Amino acid sequence: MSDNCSHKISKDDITRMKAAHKRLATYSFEPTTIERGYNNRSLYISIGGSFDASNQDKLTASVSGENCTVIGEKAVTPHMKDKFVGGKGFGLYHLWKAISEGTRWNSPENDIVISPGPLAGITQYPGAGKSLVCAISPLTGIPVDSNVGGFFGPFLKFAGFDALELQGKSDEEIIIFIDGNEHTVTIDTAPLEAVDSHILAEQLSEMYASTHEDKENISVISCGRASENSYIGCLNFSFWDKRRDCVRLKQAGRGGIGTVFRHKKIKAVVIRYRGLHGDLNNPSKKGLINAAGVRLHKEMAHLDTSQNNMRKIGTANIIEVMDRYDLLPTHNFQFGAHPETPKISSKVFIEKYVTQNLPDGCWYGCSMSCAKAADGFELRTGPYKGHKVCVDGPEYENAAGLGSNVGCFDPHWILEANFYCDTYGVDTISMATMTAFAEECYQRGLYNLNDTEGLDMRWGNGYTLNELMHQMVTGDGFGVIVGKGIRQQKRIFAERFGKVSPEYEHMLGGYVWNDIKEPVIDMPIPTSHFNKNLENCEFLQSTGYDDNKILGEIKGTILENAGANNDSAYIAKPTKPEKIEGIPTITREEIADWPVGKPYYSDDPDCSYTNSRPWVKMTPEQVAEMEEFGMENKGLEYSEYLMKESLAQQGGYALCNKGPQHDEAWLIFMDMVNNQIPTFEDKAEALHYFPMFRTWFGLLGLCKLPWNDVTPVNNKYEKEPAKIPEHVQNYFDIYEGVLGKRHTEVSMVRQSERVYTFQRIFILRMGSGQRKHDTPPSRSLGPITEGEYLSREERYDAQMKDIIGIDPCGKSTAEKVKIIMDYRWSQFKQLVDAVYKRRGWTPNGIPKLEKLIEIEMDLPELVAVIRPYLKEEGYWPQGEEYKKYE
Amino acid sequence: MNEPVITLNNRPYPFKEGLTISAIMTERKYDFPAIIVRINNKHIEEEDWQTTTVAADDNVEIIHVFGGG
Ligand code: SF4
Repeated sequence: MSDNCSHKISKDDITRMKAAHKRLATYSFEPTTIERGYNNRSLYISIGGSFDASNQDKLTASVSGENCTVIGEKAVTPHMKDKFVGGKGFGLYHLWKAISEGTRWNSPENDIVISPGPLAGITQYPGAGKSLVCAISPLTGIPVDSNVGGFFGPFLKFAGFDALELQGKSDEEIIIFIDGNEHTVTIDTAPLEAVDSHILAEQLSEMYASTHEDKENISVISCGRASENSYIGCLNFSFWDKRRDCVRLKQAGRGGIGTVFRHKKIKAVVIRYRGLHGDLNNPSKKGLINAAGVRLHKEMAHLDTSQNNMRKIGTANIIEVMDRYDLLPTHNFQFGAHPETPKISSKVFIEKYVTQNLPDGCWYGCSMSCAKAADGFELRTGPYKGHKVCVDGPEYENAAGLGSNVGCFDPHWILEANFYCDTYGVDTISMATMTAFAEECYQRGLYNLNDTEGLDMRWGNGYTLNELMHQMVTGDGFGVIVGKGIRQQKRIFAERFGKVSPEYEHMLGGYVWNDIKEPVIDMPIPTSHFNKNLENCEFLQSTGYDDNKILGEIKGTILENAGANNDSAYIAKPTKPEKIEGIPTITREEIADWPVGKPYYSDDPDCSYTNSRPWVKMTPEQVAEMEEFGMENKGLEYSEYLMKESLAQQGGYALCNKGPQHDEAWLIFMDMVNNQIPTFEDKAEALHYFPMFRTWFGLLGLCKLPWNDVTPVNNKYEKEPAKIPEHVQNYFDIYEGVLGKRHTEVSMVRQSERVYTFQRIFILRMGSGQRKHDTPPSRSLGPITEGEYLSREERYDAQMKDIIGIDPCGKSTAEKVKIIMDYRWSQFKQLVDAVYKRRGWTPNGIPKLEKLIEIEMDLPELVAVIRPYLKEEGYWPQGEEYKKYE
Repeated sequence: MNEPVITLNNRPYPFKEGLTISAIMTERKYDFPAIIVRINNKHIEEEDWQTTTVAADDNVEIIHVFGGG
């Protein structure tokens, strides 16, 4: 589409870029024929050396190139298929073999594994083009899995591989190219190509396609510049949108895998596959697949408009529903609704931004077509200011997270942030939740304008939201702290942003960087705050303030003082001080014992912003305060649903293997609204079945949305309508259609339990995975502040009276908050007990040996991990039959 | 004597004569497009919500079939 034309590339550019390539390795592979969904081999690439982890599977064929690159193949064995199925299962399997207990996210042996499942690539049934990506996460230090659409996964499979492993670390920027028709893999250095994904994917589609039409046979994995200075990098998987004549991007968002990718200095992985047709999986019973596909296509055609409107607006259709049911996270999950939500409702995006009537499927054959986009969207900030671009979105998570949760109710800023998240390669969900946390810290006065160098961190400043990302790109500024995630923010704020105690003020020698003592709440930034700094300021020219109302009020003062003209605007940026004599420099290890309120210098190689100024530790009370509302678990930020009133969803988040993502269980309506799972056992059953069912999508290469974002007419007569049994049967049909084996709920749950339990043990192996690691922040369980309580006072008073049996009359709000929260913590504890029991785990969350035997996962390497924990907890089973596991 | 109630989604809910399904929906602000209604395990079609009244002690299920995230 001609509107998205600001970054088109010339042939000369491409020639110049190609000329700068240097070939590091070439590998030729034998063509294969897919047998019932499998190629029975995976592709292994290591850059900068091969890694002989003791249990790494051997290469069956390989070639070594320059700079210690290795390209080779590994067998996909019957054991792998039986126990791990594919997709996420293969990802975790390879990752387990590639790393050791000491591996960190930036260790060269950390392995990025991309695997479509055995059903991936079907074109007859909607939503069958997904890949799963696994790696050790920079945010959590444990394995993370993230699912993604786009063409890469199916093309990888049709090129001849069930998985791709990327290990090692390159010294130079490289591009890996897999040619699925010529049967070659090449690795080239690539110094000149862009890094930001919306440009790079265009460049590489142009470079590797032989004709314009050939671009639809190309898919590119890339990750933009912000991932390099943050822990929230995502991977963009591209597909060519013929109608728009531009690339589209789908994200493997969660857990910072893009950060790992860029750390390895991989600029892109490109695949080309020509000759797509519907039977490439070599299915066993094609008729079953076709019949299931026809059923679902009909439902989409007849029911979508009256149900979820996925084809018009995609997942963003639920923004206003969430608001109506008090579930839309607002101001860092404090509330579930906001009067300004109509400004960001799906109607607004449909009418003003999102292009209609285009077949927006992220893989062929998806009649749900939810991958919506806004075309010709003109950017206001950053390096692409003034460019007209195609924004992939908004999806619900982006609109809720970058909108209401950070307090922004301006659809333009939401879409702009959506665009920059994608092209810079950062996860929209983490970006939103970590910004919301930083904003709340600011509102509470835990840090101030001096700490942000003038960046306004009050709720909802759309400019700030984008500026934080621009700072992640430059690697300088407060945005770098924000981009490290909430867990690191808490540490950094606690180490650096405390107040100097009066007894230590003399150490500052008159330096007044901490002179703004009042938090700024709900008012324009007083110009006095800037005036105070003007004498000791340099001005950072920035862009995009022009129509920002709040900053407009201070603009006059700043421009006047800076002697600038009206076309630009500025943020006040305090000059970094010279080192102050008399303030000692201490090591990181010494920080723990350093007195609160006493300034010191230290350094943080991971986050050097503020390294040059004195740090001051916060009080223990302030540190505890942040723990209450920092919405992360295991290091991963919560996704964008308010879970406070649903105990089952609190569990769904906190007990999610990789961290709080809703892709294991989304039970809010079943629990809170329908009250269909009232007992702990009911909730535990739901927290077993749904995570297993959704794990299964990740094993097979399927998208969740066509399962329950359209419901068949007769679903209302089903005994368990939430499971959408007719669609579950469709999945069993297409499974049988491809693999030739009948499948039932029991065999499906068994497949998932194996991988799910394996993942839990993997997490344990990496030093997490016990009960204490599943503990959520208090805010996820209920109202932690008087403001939150009072906003829903009637509800909480009624609960106190009717459920807890305490009369709220005469109690102060603080007392009532405590009563509600104590009760909810006790409920949560009982829920965890019930879920662990249902999953076959001990009260400490360790999978029992008996469970491993039951699901036939009593593999020696898994038993070795759980054995010491079970013995310590007293859960190691006695009896002759267990002797062999000693 | 206790006030008469129905059971709505496993919780007690005040009963009054002539209480229809539509009235409950309005009171509860249930306006989601995909809702299933059952009274004592019997499915009630959407076109009958306006005219279907509940009796004291009825077990009413109003189930939102909502895919969510
Ligand atoms: S439903 Fe949406 S995300 Fe899923 S496969 Fe279809 S277009 Fe892609």
